[in-house]
Amino acid sequence: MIEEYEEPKTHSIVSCEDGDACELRPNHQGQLVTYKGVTGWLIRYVTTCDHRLTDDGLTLTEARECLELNRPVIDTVSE
Amino acid sequence: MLFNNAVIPAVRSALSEAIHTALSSRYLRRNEGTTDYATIPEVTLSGQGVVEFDVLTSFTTSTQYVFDSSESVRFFCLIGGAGTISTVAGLSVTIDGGPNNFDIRDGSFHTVRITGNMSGLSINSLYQRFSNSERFQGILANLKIWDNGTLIRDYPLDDNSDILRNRAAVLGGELYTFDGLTDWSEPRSSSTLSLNGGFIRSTADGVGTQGSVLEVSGLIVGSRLLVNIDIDRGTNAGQIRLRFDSSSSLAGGGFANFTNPTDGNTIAVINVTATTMYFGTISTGHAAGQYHDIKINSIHQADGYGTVINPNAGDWGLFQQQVTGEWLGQELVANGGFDDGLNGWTFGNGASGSVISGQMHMTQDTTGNGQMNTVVSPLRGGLSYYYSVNLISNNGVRPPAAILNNTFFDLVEGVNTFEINSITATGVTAVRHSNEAAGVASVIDSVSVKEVLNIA
Repeated sequence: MIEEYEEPKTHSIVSCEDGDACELRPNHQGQLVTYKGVTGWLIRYVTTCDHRLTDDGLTLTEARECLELNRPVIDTVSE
Repeated sequence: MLFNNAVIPAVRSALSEAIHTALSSRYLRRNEGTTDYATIPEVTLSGQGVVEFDVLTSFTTSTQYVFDSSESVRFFCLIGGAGTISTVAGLSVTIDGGPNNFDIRDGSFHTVRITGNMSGLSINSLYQRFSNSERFQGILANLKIWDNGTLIRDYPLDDNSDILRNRAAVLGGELYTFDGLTDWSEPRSSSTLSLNGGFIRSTADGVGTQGSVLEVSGLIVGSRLLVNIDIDRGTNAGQIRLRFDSSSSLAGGGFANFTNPTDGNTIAVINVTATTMYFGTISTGHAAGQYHDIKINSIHQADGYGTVINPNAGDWGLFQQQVTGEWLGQELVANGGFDDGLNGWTFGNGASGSVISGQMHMTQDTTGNGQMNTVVSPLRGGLSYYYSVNLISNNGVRPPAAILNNTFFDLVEGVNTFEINSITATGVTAVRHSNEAAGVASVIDSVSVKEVLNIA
């Protein structure tokens, strides 16, 4: 009887091209990523605007995977 | 004497209640650790220093930074692979007053204290490494920085806001008093200014860039301002950008964009780069006669205030400290007391329910594992929750079970409380009969799920 619930969508990838860039909310800074064949800003909310590049929002697991795939090279340096 | 003896006890009681409330309830912010972090105005220490904070995390996958700096002489603090604190060489670290020699990533609060000669070390970001990576996943609270014995930064991190106040600095006086159009002008000479109550209205003369700008002088370069501004669009066309700049044309320095329907209030912290600065709006895409309104509610000097970058409203939660020390979050079961009847509850496996005098009567209509369910939201993976339910009575052969995310707990009559760790999905809470015959009934009340934050 336990029902299955989908993990809520948490992130979007939106366009970052000049002239077609998604306007972000205050205090949001898009992080440039390439994930599942699209390149755009990863933002921390799900947008439904025309700038969204993926079919749906990203799950938290997908967002973390996206960040890991786009991790800066400099971070291999240890303290 | 101001108060007589009859008044003093009442005053004392009110004070005691107020103080108790303030001490036992507060907001805490959980950093998701994806793209979210915070910036603070850079602080550079000059000598013997102390940095102290409370930290809670259960994230063990990789290194995570509590704070850092993008400056060349970085004051970094990270939780490494062994779960201990690493920081600049030569500094001393204690955890909960003892050695820094155990894994603190246990989902409980720990107090970290760093001491030593911090001359020249800088901090300007929280929750991440300077390179925008290795972000912290958990809760940070009560971050304090002393330099040569003076408390220079004090972030309680209880703001329930994207703005992180610094209690070590007194908020400055009001820098703006509404006086009609005094000190207001057009940034691009393409609109007409007028008043709409307390709002400044900018009406487009034609297609182009319009706006209104306020001159504020006498500012201190390097300081920060806390601004509170309302925007009201007269039309849905175009976009409006709030800007703060050293030029009256508002050539740069945007800090908020507005597109329909996100009009409303903005509170922001902005950096002062000149003694005279300009606040206002730049809008595009408006036709002649279309307008927007701006109202500045307040401008205060707010030194040391920080800003959460890439925030979500759900990051903040209100927690209540228990007498045993742990913190409990807000109620996640919408109708756990059945004050709203059956609303939110469903039944299955041969069970049905009715609410009598505010208590749930779950009855087995046919033999089976009768169950009552309700969705609990939001649950988050990796966190801990208290699940409690009051089983008032049960006439079955076996004890009914409480279920949260497929974890079963046998119930006894009375209030049952369980702690569940490492929830891995959003889900359902339920009470279930265990293969009972028709006619078996349970009376249930006070179903509750709350996030729990333990203390070390």
